[in-house]
Amino acid sequence: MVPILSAQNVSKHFRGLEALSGVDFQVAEGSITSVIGPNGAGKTTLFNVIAGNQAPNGGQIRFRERVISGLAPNSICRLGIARTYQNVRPFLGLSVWNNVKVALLFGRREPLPSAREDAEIESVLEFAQLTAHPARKAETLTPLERKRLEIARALATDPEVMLLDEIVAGLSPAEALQMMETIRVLNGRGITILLIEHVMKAVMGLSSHIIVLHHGVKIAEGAPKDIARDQEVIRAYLGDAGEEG
Amino acid sequence: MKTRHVLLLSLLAALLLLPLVEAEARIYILQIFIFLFLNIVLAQSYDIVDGAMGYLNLGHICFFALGAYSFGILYNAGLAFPLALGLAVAVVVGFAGAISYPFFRLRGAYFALATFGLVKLMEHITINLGWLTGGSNGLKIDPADRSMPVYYISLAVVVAVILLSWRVSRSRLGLAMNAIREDEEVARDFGVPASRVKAQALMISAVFPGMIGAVYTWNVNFIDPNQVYGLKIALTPIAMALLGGSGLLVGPVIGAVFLYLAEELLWTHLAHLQGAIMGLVIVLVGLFMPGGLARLKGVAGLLGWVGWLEEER
Amino acid sequence: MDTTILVQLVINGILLGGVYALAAIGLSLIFGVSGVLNLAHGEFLMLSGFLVFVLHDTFQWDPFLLVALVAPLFFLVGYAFEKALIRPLAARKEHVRLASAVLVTLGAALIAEDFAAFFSQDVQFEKSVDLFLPTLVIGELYLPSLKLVVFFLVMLLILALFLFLKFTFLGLAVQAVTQNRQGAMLNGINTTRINAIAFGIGTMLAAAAGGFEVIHSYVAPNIGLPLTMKYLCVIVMGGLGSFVGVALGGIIIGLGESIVGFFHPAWGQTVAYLLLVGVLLIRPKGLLGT
Repeated sequence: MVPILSAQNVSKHFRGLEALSGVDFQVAEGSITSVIGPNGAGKTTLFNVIAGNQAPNGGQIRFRERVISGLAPNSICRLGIARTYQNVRPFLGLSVWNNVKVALLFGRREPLPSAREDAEIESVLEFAQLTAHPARKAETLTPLERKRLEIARALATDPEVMLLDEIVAGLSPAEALQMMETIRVLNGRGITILLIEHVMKAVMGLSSHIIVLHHGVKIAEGAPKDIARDQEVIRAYLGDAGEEG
Repeated sequence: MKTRHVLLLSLLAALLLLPLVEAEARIYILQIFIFLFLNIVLAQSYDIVDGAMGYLNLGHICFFALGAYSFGILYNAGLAFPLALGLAVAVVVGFAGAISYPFFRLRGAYFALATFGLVKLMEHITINLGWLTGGSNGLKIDPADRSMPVYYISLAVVVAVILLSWRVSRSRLGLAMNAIREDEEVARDFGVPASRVKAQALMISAVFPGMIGAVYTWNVNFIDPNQVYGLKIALTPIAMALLGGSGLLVGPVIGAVFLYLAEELLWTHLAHLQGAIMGLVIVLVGLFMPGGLARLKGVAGLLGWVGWLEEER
Repeated sequence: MDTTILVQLVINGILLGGVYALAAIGLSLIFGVSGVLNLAHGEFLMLSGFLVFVLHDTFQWDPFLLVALVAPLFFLVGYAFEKALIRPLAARKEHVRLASAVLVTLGAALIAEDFAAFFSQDVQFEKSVDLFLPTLVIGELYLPSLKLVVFFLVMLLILALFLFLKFTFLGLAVQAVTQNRQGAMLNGINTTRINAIAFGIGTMLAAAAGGFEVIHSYVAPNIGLPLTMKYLCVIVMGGLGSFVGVALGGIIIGLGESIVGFFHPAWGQTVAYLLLVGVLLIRPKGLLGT
């Protein structure tokens, strides 16, 4: 089967600094795949390249058979790839409702009939447990609510792939469990999940496949139990990452 | 009917009846209102790009000036008023579309800076194309007192710009503009075609200054580059929008009325230093009222009672 | 075309561009550090020019000595200006802050212009210092020695600023803030104070340029805003944050005005704005910007 998302020999450098070099990977449709690695390993750069925020200097990103590297981010979103940000970025001055509405109106491949818009926004907000005050401006939300809004906004684009950038990091243990459950439910709806995460419990508990980046190079990949068994990988590249938010 | 509808309609009725009142200084009074309308149109249309989309377009006056000149040239070429007006607006909107791509590659202060430079560039080009524009000697059309029709057309443009701003604020386009104001990168990531949205917003914001520019030429019968591109006329509408409350539908209108009246009073009652006092007012607004008059407690309360304040862009 | 004329035009252009570069570097420094478009920049130039004129008129002191006395005074003016009018805006959201700063500096510009016009009775009343230096003639080239002296001093000031930024602790702090405000703050640099100092230095450079203007040309109350706009063009051309680029931008615009102005006097003054828009179309980051 053709992987839903794949990279062939992707490189990205900033003024001589090699952020990604010759990265290959494949994300199987319906999977939860994690990208791990210490700070500066190039994880967020990888997301930026996939989402179209940065063009790679070499190599290709494919969505199914289609090459998407080089497309504008708004086109990539419409193809069915939605993202969240490591440091949450809600539209602070807009209401919670309108935050979701922007994604719903512009981010979907097939526009929703306008009669169904409101119902769809409501259901997305309900999923993200944000129904209490839809008219509130996003700047009044708590950190946890902001994370949920990130999920809601991504979900509103009706994506096939979600790129979740450290969505669990910074949450309390209880909240983290809840968020993991949310991710599982999203996956259960048929959305392929690509996860950047430092919280190893989340990574090991959720992923079916793990990719390890270090200094922009893929140094290992495999099933969680294989990666976990690869004690060298864990100690060398994740030992110092636990406290990072 | 809601209170605000009653208020609005009576205000409109009063403005419609005003020219019919017989008075000695009728033309003078009409002209005062015509220039007030001009300022409202400029401030309100300016805020489509600033308040709603977050781009500080310091070159907004170019649309007005281009409208004024295009109309004058076409009218002198023998075109009837409505045709010359329509074509002038088309020229202005085309111009807005053309500059949109290069200018909107810039953001924040850079965009403000570039559009500010555009004012001077356009002024110099106008001066230098003497064969077309009359250069620094200005452009004349056949002189006549057209206060009555100008008054009504200007009033119509005021109503139109407010209605359209309101429509845009509740539209898909308006929401995309708001998203761009909040975070353009995220807006793009969620499918907003930012370049197209920005071009559309700029073109919409250009229609009304273009129109009122044409009407301006028709009214004063003579324009020159310094008059229509002068820094004072370029920056006053922006000060008005910010003074009244950028981002609120009613803000620029309040700012325009307030600043215009203040200016008129200063001119009639002070022999010197009107400019300095205007400057002082502008400084104080910038320092102490980031939200503008419309967001001040007292005013906001009043507006909330009437039911206008919740209308954001 | 006659080569001598071209060489002469190039010399004139470079001499003209030097003063542009000086004032524009001041404005660029302020923008780089604070992110504020200071629309009152040209007014400081105008005010300083007037001050030099009045002092020269009253005491008959040497105008260059007066520039050396007046310019440092304007460091304090710029410092106080930042403290009173720009610092209070610091906490606002970026877009609101930009808009507020436009208002505040625009208002200040109007006040300055109106006061200058009030005291000199006329907005267009041109003042200049009468100072005669013989013109150097080399072959067929005419070198106005007054402008040469001014150019030399301008270059000296730019060099001094360059050394200050490169080799003093304060200068390095200014550069750090320009490049990364947050990072500089995290590294213990007092960004609030650096802002005020940048305004002080920038204003001082404008004041020096104003003194030079009144010596080799003239000042009038209404030159402030148009000059500010021209400096903004210079900055955009050179690329924000690149002092070499800004100096180059000033010289290029001086050259353009001199050469184009010779053949088409009317288009000479248009050059700055044409270049501004042209550069934006081709290279939005300016000539040397990164």
